[in-house]
Amino acid sequence: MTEIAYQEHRQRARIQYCADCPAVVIAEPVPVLGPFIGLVGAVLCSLVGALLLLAPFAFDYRQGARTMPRSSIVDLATGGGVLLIGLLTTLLFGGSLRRRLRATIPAAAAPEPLPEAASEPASVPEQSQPQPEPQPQPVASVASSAVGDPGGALRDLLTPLVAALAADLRARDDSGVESEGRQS
Amino acid sequence: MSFDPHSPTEPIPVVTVAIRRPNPPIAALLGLGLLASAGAWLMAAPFVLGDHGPGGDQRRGAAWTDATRVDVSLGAAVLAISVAALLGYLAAAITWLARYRQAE
Repeated sequence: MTEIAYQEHRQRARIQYCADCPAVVIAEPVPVLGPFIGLVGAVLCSLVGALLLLAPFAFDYRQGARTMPRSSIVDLATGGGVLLIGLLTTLLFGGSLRRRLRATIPAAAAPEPLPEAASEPASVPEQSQPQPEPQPQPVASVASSAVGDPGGALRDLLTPLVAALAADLRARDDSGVESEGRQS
Repeated sequence: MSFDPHSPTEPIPVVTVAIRRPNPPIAALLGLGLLASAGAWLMAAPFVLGDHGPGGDQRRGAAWTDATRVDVSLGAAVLAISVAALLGYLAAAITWLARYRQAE
């Protein structure tokens, strides 16, 4: 899902619940159960393949004959194939599981570089001329927070928590004032 | 008015953010299919190839030898494990899609 689709989905979900109230934004769980089941199955098949490699010698299929019976050759060949394919499948499922566990939501991706930082070397020669000192911008804090959190996910996550904390403190203050009024 | 910390409050709406759907491990699933085929072959091999050679080979109509028992049991185990893993992966994927991708 691209960044635009992610933003559209988040906006659509917010409107569906509440147009202006803050909401707790959580990410969907990554589907890891399927690769885990495949990983376990591949490991078990590898163990069966190893047992097939050992079976002709453990059960003595030859029974004193001069030549090796065909069943031993079939067991060795099939056991080797099962062991090889099982180990390969284990590696593939393990890689898939590792990639899924390391996946993050798009909002947590690396922030884009600042356009001011990109144009900074070009502005160095112009510093020889005296320039007026720039006035402090009131929106600087908002801009700096947007740089570290381009999708606004952290802000969306913290806003309801702060609102709940403020409501809790306000309720405690109200109850404290009332109890003091009753005592006096 | 007194503050009751256990009083029911208005629930905070929870919005689930969609993640990028991971690509299915096609090669690993093909590996499971190959393992299922190997298990089926292992079950059939004593009866397909058994009428030749000395020693522990399976004769037609005779009692099962040790090699035949081992081949059939281990082939059934490989087949059952790989088919169960394939069905488990399919069930997990369908469950995840039904839970989080209803709108698509």
